[in-house]
Amino acid sequence: MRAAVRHALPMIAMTAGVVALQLVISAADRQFYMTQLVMALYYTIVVMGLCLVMGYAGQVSLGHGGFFALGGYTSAILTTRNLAAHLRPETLQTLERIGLLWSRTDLYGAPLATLAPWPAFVAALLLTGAVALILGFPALRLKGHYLAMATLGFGLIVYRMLLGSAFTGYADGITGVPPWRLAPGVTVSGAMDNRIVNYYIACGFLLFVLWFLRNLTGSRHGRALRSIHDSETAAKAMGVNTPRLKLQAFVISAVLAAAAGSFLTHFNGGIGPSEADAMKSVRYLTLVAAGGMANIWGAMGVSLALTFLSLRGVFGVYDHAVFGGLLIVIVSVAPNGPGRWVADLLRRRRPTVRSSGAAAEPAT
Amino acid sequence: MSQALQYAFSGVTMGAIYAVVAIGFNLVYSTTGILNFAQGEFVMLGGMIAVTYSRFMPLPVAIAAAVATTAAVAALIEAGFIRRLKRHTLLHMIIVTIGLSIVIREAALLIWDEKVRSLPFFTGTESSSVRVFGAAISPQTLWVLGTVFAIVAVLHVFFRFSLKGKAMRACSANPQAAMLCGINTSNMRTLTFAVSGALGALAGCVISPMTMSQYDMGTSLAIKGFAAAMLGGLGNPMAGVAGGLIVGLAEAFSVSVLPAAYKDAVAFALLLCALFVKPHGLFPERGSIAREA
Amino acid sequence: MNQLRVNGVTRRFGGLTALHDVSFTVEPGAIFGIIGPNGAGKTTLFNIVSGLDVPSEGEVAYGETVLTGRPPYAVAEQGLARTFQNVSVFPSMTVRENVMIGRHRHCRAGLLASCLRLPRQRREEAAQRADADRILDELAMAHLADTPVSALAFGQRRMVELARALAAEPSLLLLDEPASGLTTRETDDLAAQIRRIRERGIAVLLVEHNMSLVMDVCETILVLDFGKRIAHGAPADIRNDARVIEVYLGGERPDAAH
Repeated sequence: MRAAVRHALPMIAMTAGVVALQLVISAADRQFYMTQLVMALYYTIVVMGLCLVMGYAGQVSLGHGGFFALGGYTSAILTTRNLAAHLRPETLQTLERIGLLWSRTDLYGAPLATLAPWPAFVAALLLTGAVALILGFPALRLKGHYLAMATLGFGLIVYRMLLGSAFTGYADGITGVPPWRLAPGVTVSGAMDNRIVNYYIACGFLLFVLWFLRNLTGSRHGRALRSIHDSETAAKAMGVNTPRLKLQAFVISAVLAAAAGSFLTHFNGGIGPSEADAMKSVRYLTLVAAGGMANIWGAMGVSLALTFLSLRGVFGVYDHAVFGGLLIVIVSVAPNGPGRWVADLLRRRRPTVRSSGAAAEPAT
Repeated sequence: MSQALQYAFSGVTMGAIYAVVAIGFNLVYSTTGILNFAQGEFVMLGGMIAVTYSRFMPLPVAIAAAVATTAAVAALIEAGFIRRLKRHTLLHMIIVTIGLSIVIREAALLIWDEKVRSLPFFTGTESSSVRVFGAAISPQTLWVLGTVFAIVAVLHVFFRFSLKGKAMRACSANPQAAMLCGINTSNMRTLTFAVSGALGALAGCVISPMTMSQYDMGTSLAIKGFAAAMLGGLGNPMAGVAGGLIVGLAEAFSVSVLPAAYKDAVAFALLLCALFVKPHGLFPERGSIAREA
Repeated sequence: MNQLRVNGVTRRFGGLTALHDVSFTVEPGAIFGIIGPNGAGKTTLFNIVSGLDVPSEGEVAYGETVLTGRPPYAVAEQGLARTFQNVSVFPSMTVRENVMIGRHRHCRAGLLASCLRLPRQRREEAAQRADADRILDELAMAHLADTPVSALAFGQRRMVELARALAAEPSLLLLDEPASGLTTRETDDLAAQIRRIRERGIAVLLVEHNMSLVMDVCETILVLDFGKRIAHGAPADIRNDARVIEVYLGGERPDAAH
């Protein structure tokens, strides 16, 4: 019982914080913060997923921008491509009845039939999961950091293909992505009067991811991942299938990125190729490092703050450089995260009373 | 026929550049275990710095100075950042090189803006050509091939016969034993970075007249160089040459089948194939660090 | 209950032959010792049995299953558990968590069940925790359960590693120099512990430097020198074997390197 309370408490506190933040913003009449805040929430979901790969499985992924774009573009393409001319009317009717299809008329009154957002979302997740599997399977069988290069290459290719294909709208990307009605009154869209609802949708999604990842890291699979970090040889000798576990973590994290990409695309009503830019992926990586690597709470906090500031344009032309520089500083000065660094500093400040007698903590 | 020859020449030229990047990767990887993500940035720096210097001094001097400057930057990266890391895990070292590559690129953007620049052709002009077996090729192609050939030859002699080269090989084979034999392994690491920086810069100079230099050219070169290194066998410096030529030729011939926009995907497809089929490359190094998990 | 068979195992590293045509069998429930001077190839042999290394020639089989060529986690799945010469515990975790890793191979809840905290996974997790606590209790380490391993002394870490291996419920336990770094008292405790393990029906394969421990607990002993088997038999025979005495008590080394 006590364990259940201890497990639920942080989530309850987070929920209270979410509500409090909304009330403060509304009270301060700063509703225009909401748009960037919602975007920051979705990007933070990517960062939290990456935290699983970097902090727990100990692998570098430079492809999360690509996965995000893959999710977003799949949703965008499937919900904007007109199927009215390609399918027979009976088929259209049947598909619409079971909720897969969505018929309406376009601006000029012509019939428009597209896939509904739900099946498009599911397709986006499946596609991204499959791609991550293909990338991760060979790279994670090997010892070393092959995944980093494989994913960097993947991100680059996605970016170039998006820029170079008519199918994905070249540099303009895809616009006119319809709102996604999750439930009556709950719609993912960027409409002004819908901002508070969308804030809660994004927060709800974030809380779900937090819950999901905390469960994972607290379970036997999380323990096994941490054991790989400590000693991969010993973990393997104890029966932990390390390549499979790393692959699973990588695929989960890619699918989370795709889910965030899909939601943000519906929120923004479109998506552009810059989402797959290598720099986006480096940003996600920076935020995980700045949060303390194997620290989901840290990654979440740092990511929300910095992404929000970046989206507000606080860093100006130095936006990229800030993230690159931060990455170097964090890894060289505070490799265990700024939290631990501050804690260590404070401990060193305090005069050590019994430092003479006791032996130093055994090195690990 | 001459069309095919034309493709072959352009493939070999680009392949030679990828080969140099691959050699740089391999050098650093075999002595330090790091995948240096800033490797492509060295090529960019070499070209850009040489363009700037060439306004004040004759071309050969400008190139030599650019190579020296880049080597210094590379050495500084090792001595200033990588060596001083508090946590020496591979993960942290790799992440630092990712951060450095971004910072170098952004610094280049601030210094040289987004404009595409290039060095003048070493001999002749843009339009001059030499006929080789019926294909018209630019004299710069010969410069590229000659330079890369010289690099490979010099490195070969260096590793085989010089004391420093032997020490470097010892470090990669067994760092602890090398240290016990009195080799200063950290200086060796710095030297390795400097050499790989110099190689990259030289490649950046010879290729600049043909493909131009721009602040963001590094990433795609890094990927292709890495694909070349993987194909040859990671950690084996000279095998990268074969890998580079394969990537370059595959890319050049792909243009005849695929839309040009997908050219970049070819190197990546080769990289994935290498990972799937021959993770130790075509010429695996004995006792290489990469072993199947 | 299975029999471990090592058949003509040779392992070369470049020009060096670390093991040369080594064969032996470990019967179910036996205590089998491997001894030899430094560099005799004991640890290489251990790594080959546990799947961390692959022999250049020969094979290892456990019961009906060929282990050679299988990754270590698949070997562990067959009921083999091992410890390491330099103690490979997981320092960032508590003692209990270390032991629970040993239970990993007995868990069935999938990754999604873990992520969604399904009831089945929660029950399993609670059961594993209880199992880990029971094993710690048996080894008189219950009071250390919540201590991070990084805070333990070397001898205690060794016991954690043993607890972790026992938690896997192996039918064959491989101990790589379990007495190195232990005090005489701790070594005596260890001998008693090994006998108790055998009473549970677990076979023990022991690589050791400490002759008295090996002579004390083992029923069969294999002696290696420069990767070759030089003797094999009961402790009493080994003690009187001329070549073993030569290797251990000095004299001219047999030129076995070539």
